[in-house]
Amino acid sequence: MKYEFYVVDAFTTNRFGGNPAGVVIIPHDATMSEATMQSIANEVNLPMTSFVQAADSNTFTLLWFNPTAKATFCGHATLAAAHILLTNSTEITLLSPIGELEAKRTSKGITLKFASNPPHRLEPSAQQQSIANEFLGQMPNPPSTQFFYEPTTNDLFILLDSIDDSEFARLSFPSAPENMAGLVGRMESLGIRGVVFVAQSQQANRDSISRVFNVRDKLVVEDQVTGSAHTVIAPLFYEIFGKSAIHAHQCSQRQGQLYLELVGDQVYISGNAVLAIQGNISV
Amino acid sequence: MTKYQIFTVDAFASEPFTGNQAGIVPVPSWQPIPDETMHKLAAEMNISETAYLTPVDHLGEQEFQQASRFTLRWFTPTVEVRLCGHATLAAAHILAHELGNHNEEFRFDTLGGVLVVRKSAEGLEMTFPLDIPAPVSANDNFELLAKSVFGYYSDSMEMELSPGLRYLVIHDPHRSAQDIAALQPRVSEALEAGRRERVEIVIATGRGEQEDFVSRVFGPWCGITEDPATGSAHTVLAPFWSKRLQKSQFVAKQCSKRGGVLSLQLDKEHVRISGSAVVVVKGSVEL
Repeated sequence: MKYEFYVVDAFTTNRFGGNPAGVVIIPHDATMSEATMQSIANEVNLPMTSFVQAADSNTFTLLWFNPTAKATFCGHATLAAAHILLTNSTEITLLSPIGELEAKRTSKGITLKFASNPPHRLEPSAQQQSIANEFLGQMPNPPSTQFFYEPTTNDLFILLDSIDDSEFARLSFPSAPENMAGLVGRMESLGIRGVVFVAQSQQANRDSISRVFNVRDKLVVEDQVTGSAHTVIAPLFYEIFGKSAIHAHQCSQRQGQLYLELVGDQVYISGNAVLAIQGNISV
Repeated sequence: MTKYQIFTVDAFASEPFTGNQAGIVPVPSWQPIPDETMHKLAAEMNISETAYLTPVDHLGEQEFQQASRFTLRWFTPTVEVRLCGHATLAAAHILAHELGNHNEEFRFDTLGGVLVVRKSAEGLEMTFPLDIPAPVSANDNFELLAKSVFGYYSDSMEMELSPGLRYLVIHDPHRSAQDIAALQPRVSEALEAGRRERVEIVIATGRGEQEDFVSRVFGPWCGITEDPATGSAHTVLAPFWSKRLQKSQFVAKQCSKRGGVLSLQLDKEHVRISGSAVVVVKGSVEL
């Protein structure tokens, strides 16, 4: 059986920038087992692969798989799927594991509507503090920090009070390769999906800057652009800085641009996407 | 923008989702791709190797159908590499089965020298120079490396290092094929020890049951947590096991999660490695 297959770079206008995602289209009259979806996601080894199937003309079911597991929530692979599906219609509904998501073409590229996920403030444990120190200890004068946790994403958010954008982008995590095993151990013992470092940008054309790290295969890896984390950054920036429209920049190697708008308990996340590879996959 | 064909091939595999993935990009002689773009596309593909293939003889419209000599370059998501067996097998498979090239033999000019691939009963057969490993005397670095793979170090372990590729082979005669398959290594904990000994790859190996021997291959130094099926590792493993089993013909299984099967035939200086391959993704990329 042959399926349409695409690789799309999400939250960027640059080919090979942003965060890549696979998109597999399942014909409406076909079925694909989740085991096969997992095998495909492992085969293509992209950070995430979306599997979509038409339910009616403007409604599609959507599932996300990373190379080793089914995912509960992924923003960039949703944008990638919408980029492929929105060639025929201007507005679609995606039935996803986190509920109905709306996607439409707008002046900012594609706009996705998500539930807002406000984080809870935390008094950091020694272990959470040491994770922050691993990142910020590389600076001569580390900024002060505030800690938050958000259960839907299961991410730890560390808000830095002031940091230069380019210095923030240069920091490595862990700070040295020999600290990798210890850091993986601490992140695993906290039971979190990832750590998000976030700050106000000091550049005029950006509001937020962020870096996002997850554990994969016993290694801490950087997530290049993370839609889901920005459903938390939007309400966080509203609460702390009173901003409801945010130009968000994720300062990973491939870099990503997201535009956030908080409206009540919804976050509209907009961004561009670029088709990198198109073809088909034989199973 | 120019459109190129791109394939994902499972090598040393007879069904999809097994063996080792390779990306194959046929690059026409009149449309070269800059090195920087080759790196970026390999990073995008994010599989162990993406290879770029360009005809050298018989240039022109029908060059991929007619040529028998090609340049072949291999890129991991982070670096260009000097030798990659599975992507060579994959490239030959694409020539023979997707691009309509009926030659019986392909010669590939690579950073690691000339590689020859022939059509064979098992699929395709590659000839590689041997990289005969020699025993190392145990020291703190090698003990740490052994521990990171097996979870322990023991005097019964046989450790040999190959002089060319610097692949470290670790064999504990007390461990079965199932034990090798069940290993849960943390090789990233021994990164520094490996660097001090200039080790590129660590291989855990044991006697097989249906096969002659089994192995697992780990290369965090070149960005590979575990390689599912590795041609180059068998240029070291074939002479390692030849000494122990007094044989020159083997069926070898790489017992990674995806698994891979290789047939080996050894002479004094070379090993011929045969395997089959399956095309999974066919597509195009505009560069």
